[in-house]
Amino acid sequence: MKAPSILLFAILLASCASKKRIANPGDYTAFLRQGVLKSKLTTTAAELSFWETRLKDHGTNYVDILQAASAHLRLFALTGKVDHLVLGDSLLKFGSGMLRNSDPEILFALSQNAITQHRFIDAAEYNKAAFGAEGDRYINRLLEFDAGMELGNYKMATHSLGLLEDKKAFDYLIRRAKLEDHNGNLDKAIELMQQAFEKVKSRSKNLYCWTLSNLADMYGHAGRVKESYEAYIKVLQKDTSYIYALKGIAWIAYSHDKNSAEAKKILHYILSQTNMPDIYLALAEIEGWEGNNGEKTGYIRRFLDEVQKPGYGDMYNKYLISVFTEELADPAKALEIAGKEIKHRATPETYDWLAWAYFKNGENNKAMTLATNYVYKKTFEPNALFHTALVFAANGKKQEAKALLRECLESSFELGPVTTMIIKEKLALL
Amino acid sequence: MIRINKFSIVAAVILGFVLVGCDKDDAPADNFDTSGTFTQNDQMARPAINTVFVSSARKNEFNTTVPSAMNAAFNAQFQSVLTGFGYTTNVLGWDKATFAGALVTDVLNVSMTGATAFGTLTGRGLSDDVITTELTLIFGGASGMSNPGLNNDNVNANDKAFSATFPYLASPF
Amino acid sequence: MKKKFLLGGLLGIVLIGSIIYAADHIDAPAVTGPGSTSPGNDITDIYAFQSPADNSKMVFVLNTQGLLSPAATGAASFPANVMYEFNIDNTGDNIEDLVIQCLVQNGKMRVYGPVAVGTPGLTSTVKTSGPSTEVAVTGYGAGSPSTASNGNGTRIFAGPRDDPFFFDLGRFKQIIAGTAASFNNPGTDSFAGTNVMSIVVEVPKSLLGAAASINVWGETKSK
Repeated sequence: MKAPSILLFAILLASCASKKRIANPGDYTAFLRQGVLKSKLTTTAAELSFWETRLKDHGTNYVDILQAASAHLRLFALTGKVDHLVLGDSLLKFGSGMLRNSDPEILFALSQNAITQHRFIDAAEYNKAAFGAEGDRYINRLLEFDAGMELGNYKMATHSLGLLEDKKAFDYLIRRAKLEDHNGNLDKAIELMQQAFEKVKSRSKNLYCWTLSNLADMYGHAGRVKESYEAYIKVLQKDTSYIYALKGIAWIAYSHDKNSAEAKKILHYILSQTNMPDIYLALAEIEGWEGNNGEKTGYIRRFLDEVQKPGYGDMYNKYLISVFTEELADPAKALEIAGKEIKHRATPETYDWLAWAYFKNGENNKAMTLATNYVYKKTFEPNALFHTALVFAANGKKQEAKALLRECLESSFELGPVTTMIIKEKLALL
Repeated sequence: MIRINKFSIVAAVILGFVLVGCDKDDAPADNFDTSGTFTQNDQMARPAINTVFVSSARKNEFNTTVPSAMNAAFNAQFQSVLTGFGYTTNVLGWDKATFAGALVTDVLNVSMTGATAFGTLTGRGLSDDVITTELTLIFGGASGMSNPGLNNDNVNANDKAFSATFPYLASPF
Repeated sequence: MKKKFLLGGLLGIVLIGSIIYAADHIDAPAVTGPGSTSPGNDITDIYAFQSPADNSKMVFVLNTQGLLSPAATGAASFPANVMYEFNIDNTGDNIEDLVIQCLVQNGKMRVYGPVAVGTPGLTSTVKTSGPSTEVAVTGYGAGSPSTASNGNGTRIFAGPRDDPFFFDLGRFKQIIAGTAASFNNPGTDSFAGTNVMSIVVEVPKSLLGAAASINVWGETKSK
């Protein structure tokens, strides 16, 4: 096992050295300033205090309640502080209750908030309630799609999307892109997202950034790393506080450029500005790649401490399953979480988590049955391909496993250098 | 305005997820771009009409129905909402069909020959208590005095004085 | 470092990296309705009244973006892809005969009209043949409003203003929902202390035709 590792590693090293780096600090260092969020934070906090003061003066007035909820939810989006998400959500529920849950617009807001919190069944229920309250059919259909895709109701989601009349509308294009991506047509998805970007690029700064950063992610999935990088830079040029784009650049510095010091610098900057729990995991990955196991474990611990706060609910289950299987050798815990997810929503992705959890619990047969029936050829997500390959390999399906691993290599950038190494080793052994 | 309701309250809530803050517009060049075709998103005239009388499911339809076609498309719905309010008549002596017919075509009738005010159906001024006028017409019955708890929202004036000079609206808070 | 990597955590971390990167895309942008990808599309109120300063003139007001708290007002703006259009029917058929079109770009508002509509309906092109007036958009915190007028007596303004509307909307919604039986006395003005993005156009009545009364409504259209 060691010998091929070293050999492969030498090859990897050689190939990195010859590859040109993409992330150039000259392009983005200016964005790594302290306080980029400060003015937005100050403004939004002032908005919150305005509506909270009115709430105190007025008693319970649903206008003030909804506006305060809005400010909390925007503060969550800015800071990642989950308390704001919880408070915003409970204010919305209170406001809705004041109107006997008869106001479709609040129900739509609750539905979208439930999606943010990965409470997809609730999201679908709120959307149904909004339908019952004669809510806008157009919004109903958009949310049917959004919740349906997460719950694995692809037929219904596709149907709802098809009912939208304007096939050139932004709302349609971004969802169609999601559907095509789900179906494995990444190129088509990218094309649709580009069209969506054309629609909004001169209309709204936030939609410009949202659409272009999603497009950048998709370029990355497709291995079009240079285009991905350029798109993230354009996002930051538009809005220096759009920190999400920096995460993508950090990944490019690490995964493509193998410039882990630079990647860490960016990630530490992000952590200094906002609370995104997944940044801890990215740092853990990089510390691991550098061989700093103590630091790695520390970041994993910090991640766990954060996302196991009650406010996060199921938002980070996917990450937790990975951490419990890969890092903490607690596959039983992973199985518990995966089992909960599958009850909530049965999708190729959640079946993959379950199969993987069984596999890590030594239940190869169960893993094999699940992977064969519900995952294999049903999702094109590199994680799932990788898991399935290992499950197949352990069950004697070497050819299929090899084919899957080779497919994974096409997503090397997305999977990162550590996983790529492991794939190559595994391939050499099969 | 009850229109606020069409989307804006929730818009404010949900836009929060992504549309954090509003945008400074980008300045492409210093010339005005007057090209292209603009397509209707929203329309309104009298306050509250859309919100009170049109169900959420049909708001977008109402917003993109030209006023001359509103009566045919929405008269029945307006009448059924009035029925729900227990409406029979009002100070103008209008029966349900007449009142629905007057409301459903959402335009402001504005006098060109003299003073304008919402209460006399001759326009809408900044200080007009339009909501109380509407509540009185809907809930006040023949005398205008019925349903005292409903015929007036007891908010009678703006919270800031208007200006006697253009643009007349008060400076922002 | 590379050696360490090999001997160290290689088999430890397997999939964290991929999960980080392949993580769910950010939630879809909030949905609010067709054409609503610009926040400036929602009209909150329309006013039309005889000018208090000159009774030979008519004032039209179109307000958008309701419930702006003071803190939110500074960042509010008029989107560049939206046309704000006053529609005027002076023949009594509820079909517009004249339009006043307002566009905001680069911190300036340009107003065309009143001008004959040509083809009425749900789509518009800019009537560049009409008389035009241009004004700088008044900023939040400006000492006095920036206004402009043209030779035919039209005056215009665009910028944040106190929302002139007053209403106990909160209580009203509860009454409609059946969770309150009546208004409070005194009521609570749901719009107290809040601002809107306002467009004000004052024109000589003579430019609106000779009818004794006109029908007016406001529209937002976007491209």
